[in-house]
Amino acid sequence: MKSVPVLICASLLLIMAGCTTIGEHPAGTVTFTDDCGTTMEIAAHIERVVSLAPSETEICCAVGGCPLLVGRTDYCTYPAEAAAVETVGGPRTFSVEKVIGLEPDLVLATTVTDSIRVQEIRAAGLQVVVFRLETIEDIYRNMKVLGTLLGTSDDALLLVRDLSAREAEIESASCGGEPVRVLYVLWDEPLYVAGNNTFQNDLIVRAGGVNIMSDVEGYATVSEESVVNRAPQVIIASREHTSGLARISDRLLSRPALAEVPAIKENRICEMEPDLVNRPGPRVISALEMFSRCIHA
Amino acid sequence: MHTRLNGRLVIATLCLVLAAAMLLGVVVGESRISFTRAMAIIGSTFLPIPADWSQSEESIILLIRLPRVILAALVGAALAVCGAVLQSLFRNPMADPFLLGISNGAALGASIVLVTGVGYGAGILGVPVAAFAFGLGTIYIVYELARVGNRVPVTTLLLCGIAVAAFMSAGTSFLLFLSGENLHQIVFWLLGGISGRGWDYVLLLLPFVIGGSVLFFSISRSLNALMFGEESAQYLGIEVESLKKIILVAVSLVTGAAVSVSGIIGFVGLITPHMVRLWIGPDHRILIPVSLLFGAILLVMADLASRVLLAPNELPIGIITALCGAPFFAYLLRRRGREA
Repeated sequence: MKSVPVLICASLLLIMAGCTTIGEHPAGTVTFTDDCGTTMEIAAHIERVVSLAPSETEICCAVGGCPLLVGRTDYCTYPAEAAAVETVGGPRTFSVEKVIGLEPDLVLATTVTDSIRVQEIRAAGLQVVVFRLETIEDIYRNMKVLGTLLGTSDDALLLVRDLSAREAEIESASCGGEPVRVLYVLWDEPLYVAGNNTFQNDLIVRAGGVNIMSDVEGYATVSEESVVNRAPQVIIASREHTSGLARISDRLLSRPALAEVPAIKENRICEMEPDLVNRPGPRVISALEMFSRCIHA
Repeated sequence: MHTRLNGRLVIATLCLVLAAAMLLGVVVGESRISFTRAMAIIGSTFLPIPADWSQSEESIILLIRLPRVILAALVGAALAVCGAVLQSLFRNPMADPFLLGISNGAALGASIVLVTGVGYGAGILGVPVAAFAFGLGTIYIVYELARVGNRVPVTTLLLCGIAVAAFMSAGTSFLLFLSGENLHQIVFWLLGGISGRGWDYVLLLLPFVIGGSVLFFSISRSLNALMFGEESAQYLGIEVESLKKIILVAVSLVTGAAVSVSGIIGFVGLITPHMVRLWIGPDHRILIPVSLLFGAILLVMADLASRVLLAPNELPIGIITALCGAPFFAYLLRRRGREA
């Protein structure tokens, strides 16, 4: 288990070498290639940043870039400092005009951001960096790259070191023993769950569990029968955005068909703040800690 | 006399096919529970059979598969029978239970609950109750808009239905736009499904389907007369306007109940009565029960396919009904065209 952090570091270096290249230029710009392979010239000294994704906003602020932020999306409400910044609209419906009007030196986006809008912004002469965020390693890499671009490398490295230390601690604490069978539920009617190749699957495995739906690809609706049949010992549910009145966990608990499921029999259902799990940002280690606590309770 | 006998034979056969389909639905599933064990579990509810099965196997059979199969049959029967009656009332083969905007209204009602959370306090029934109320409200608006004095011209009714339906679905689209991270909840509802509904929903729908079917069967002679046009039916002594009202109210209640428990499952209400008409002719005394049975069989099989094809994934049932129904329907139409 000791070798895991070493492996992570090694793969991190490989990823950095493979995907992202930063080269200094004399004219006050750097050449940069983003995760989608788009090469661009970015100002060496960045003063204005617009973020088009909640995860990028969180990462930008975590590496000390919050004071540079001049634009965000409606959903970028964390940290509180970012919430005070002007918004450009929803993450998939934002106004391109507004983004251009804010005259940023750098626009942050992810592979989930509407690519047609990204093209439009680029056509206006702005630099849009697109990050791919699928694993925890991707987040660390994003932090380091952003630190370099914003001139806050030291902060970024410190942050990554701190987060990976916490991560390693959780992972070593939760290894060994029979893996706990876990189900992650995003919505209860129909049962919409996290399968293989999802962020939640990654967190379950790292926290020492085994995802009972790992044979399902991505997010999927599954039958009640498959849940009863696979008998999860722990259920982690996303807390709803809508109301606090009827929560997914309460509804699962009151469902007669699921009464024989071990997790429900023993009331081992945890609720997660959806933003914590659904956003591949700096708070993902907190999510991992909660997964671990829930699985090993 | 000949058709009567034939009709009875067809109905009896279809009852057997439906029973077989439902049995298949109860026996087949992800967890491999043997046929005899499944039967023993069902039998144990009214016979003293010693339990040699696990509690989870019992839940799977009695609380998951059985209510689900029954709900599929009820929804299929409701939509098919309403489709049959509306096609006759409008004398238009394009008519289906969702024609007058009931599904669009129901979708808006469900979306409001799902996005705002208002009505979740009512527990599990918040969404179906809102869907039901909005579905009926939509029909009422359409009816009032189309009403001229004491008469409701069919063409006006259809056009008003289109207008109000468009308005309602614009409302739903706007909510989808606003919903952000609750998007998937509305989309699931719109796709339709009978997964994970349980006995509550069966009991909710059952009285509507029984009541509606009995009523529709009892007016089947009047529906036969209506095929020759409203005027001719009037000469035959049928109160066409009040018949229309009765049909609209009954169809709205039955469809509203079906939509509120299952979301929007398209195509069953359109193609089932159509296929049945091509097969056994237009006599409503046979058409209505046969449509009912046929719709039930179709949806039980579609539901089985939806949970078996990509297990443990579950496909939205509406995809299956349209994917299999549309080509088969086209084939029937082509064949009839050639024969004629």
